[in-house]
Amino acid sequence: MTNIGGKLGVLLAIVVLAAISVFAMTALDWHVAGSDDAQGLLGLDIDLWLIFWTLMLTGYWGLPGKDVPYARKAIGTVVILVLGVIFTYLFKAISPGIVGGSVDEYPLMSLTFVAWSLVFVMSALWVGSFYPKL
Amino acid sequence: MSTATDTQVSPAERPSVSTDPLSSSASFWASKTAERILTMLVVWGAAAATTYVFWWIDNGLVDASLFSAVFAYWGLFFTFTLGLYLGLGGGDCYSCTLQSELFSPEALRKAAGIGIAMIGTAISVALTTHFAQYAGPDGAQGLNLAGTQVFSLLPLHWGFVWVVFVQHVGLV
Repeated sequence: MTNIGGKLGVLLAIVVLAAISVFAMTALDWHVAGSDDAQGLLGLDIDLWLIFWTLMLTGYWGLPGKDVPYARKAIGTVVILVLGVIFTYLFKAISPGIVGGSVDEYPLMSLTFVAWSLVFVMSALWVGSFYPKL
Repeated sequence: MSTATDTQVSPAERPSVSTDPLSSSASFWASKTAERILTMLVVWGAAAATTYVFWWIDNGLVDASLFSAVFAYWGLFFTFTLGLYLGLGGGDCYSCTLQSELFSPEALRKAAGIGIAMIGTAISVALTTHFAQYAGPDGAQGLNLAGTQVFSLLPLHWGFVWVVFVQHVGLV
């Protein structure tokens, strides 16, 4: 029961950030990726965004309670998300050549972006397990 | 000072790099770097192989629109399972345990954990596939579980859930 306020705050932040992520990515699905059924992925997206922000805030940032080096963690967070965007578009470009098919309609942009973001935050946790400076 | 049998030591509890006499050895760092690079190759090789298996089962299961997500999720899964849970690549020195004593309690504990996760995944996939028929023709939120593109993601999601469960609940 220690620091119950901090834990509830982090929980609230996780839910809010996940909700914002889903709505933002749904908008991108429509306007950038050209998908007309992005909403159909809402149920699949929200759990992954919840996992992502849970890993990011509690695992990577060490909230609540850890003495967080805010600047370094903020830079790391931006790097993780930018790498997620880069790999999303990289694989969108190379996927037809590898497995065939088309990406003219790419309804999985949110799913793909959160997948790569999860990859990089998990990699950061792995590397951080033997190199805490990350 | 850490020993070859140290396992499950959190980063905060580990001795700092500068106080570990082993860390001053260039060959030590070279070997650790090689181990980490090898671990990453194993992780992403396993992800590519698994993705290929699902593509090979039926080309329609992993097409261009899904390839990126499937490949990334399997990479995520193996990074967590091999890197963070088993500690390959220097995390919790699981490989040190293996080198010193293959059938040590720690190695057996991890093997039991993986076994439980695999059994739990199989049961979860079977149950969710069975009960998906009650979610209507479109499945649950777009998850057509019988022979659709998302088929590959199903065991992965459940596998991830079970490995996280095994580790954080501390079941074994």
